[in-house]
Amino acid sequence: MTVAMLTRSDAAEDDLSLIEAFKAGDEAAFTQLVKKYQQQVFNLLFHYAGRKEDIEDLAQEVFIKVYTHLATFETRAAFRTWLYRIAINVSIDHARKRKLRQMLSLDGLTEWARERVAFKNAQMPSPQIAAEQNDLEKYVQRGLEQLPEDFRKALVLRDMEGLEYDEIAKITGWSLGTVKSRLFRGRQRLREFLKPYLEEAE
Amino acid sequence: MNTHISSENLTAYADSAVSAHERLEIERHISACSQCKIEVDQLLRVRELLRPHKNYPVPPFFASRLIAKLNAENKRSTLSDFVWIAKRLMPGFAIFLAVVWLWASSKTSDVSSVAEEYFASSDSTSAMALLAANERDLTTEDVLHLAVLEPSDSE
Repeated sequence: MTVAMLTRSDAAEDDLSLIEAFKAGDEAAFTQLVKKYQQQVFNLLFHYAGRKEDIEDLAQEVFIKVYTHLATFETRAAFRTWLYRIAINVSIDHARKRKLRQMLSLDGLTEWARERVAFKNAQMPSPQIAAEQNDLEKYVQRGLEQLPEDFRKALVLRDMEGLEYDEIAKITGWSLGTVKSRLFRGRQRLREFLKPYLEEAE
Repeated sequence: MNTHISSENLTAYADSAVSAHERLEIERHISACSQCKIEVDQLLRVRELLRPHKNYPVPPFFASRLIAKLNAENKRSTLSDFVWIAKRLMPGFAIFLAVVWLWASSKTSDVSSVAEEYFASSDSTSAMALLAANERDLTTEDVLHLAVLEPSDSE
């Protein structure tokens, strides 16, 4: 058993005792769970949804869902896997609602169309400019946002959150083969987007 | 030259998610295959670019605000439970009120008819006899009612 696996199972046991305490009526155990995972939830929401404006609302929604359903959480599953699945679903729901709101309002529709055109016409900054402006991170984020949802999900969970393949499979409901192929294709698509940077930097 | 390594295996290799045996096989292949080596290098490059260098800043007191919001929602849900129960009891309560109103109005009409006969009678003896026949003692409420119904010509 590797050190990483030991750490993972220790963390899971720690979660388990907090969940049991919460189920027994200890509300402070929930606060501890929030404090333990808030950083990871904020990172995931930011990388996945790519928006800063309503990120706190989204994080609150994630933890409220956790609070509401924790009593029925089956402790055989890993808490982190369950939490990440909730966070991903909240992000997806939020993106859908936002898109729908934009489509339903005339102003929103114009704004949406303008965003799409601006995005398509965007020019990749040269590595020097990107480095000077400290914009590379933003550009990578932008590249992620233009990926199909499943590829983005795979890349965010693996490359940004550092999850193992089996955890990604559990969160997404994909097979291990699908996880690998979506990671490959997602990275390939992102590489195309970042090609000018990668070539100049070589 | 062997067949190229599959994209899934190259990805797993870049992520160190292959067995020791697979690793050796892949390394043997890429040492002789520039195409697969470029593929792995670029995968690693993209992965490196994606690796976040800093955490997203969690807003101060996030946990406290969340707990406060949860407490407020719990209170709200208790209130909505109360409203839900009240709504369920509403028809029964309405029927009860209707029965009470009908009963009260029938009592009032009794008093009215007694009062009208009382004032129609010419002397106090027949009035007392009338009250006795109706087996009624005048309550404060009846007196007040009589005062209201008292015709002006009876003074």
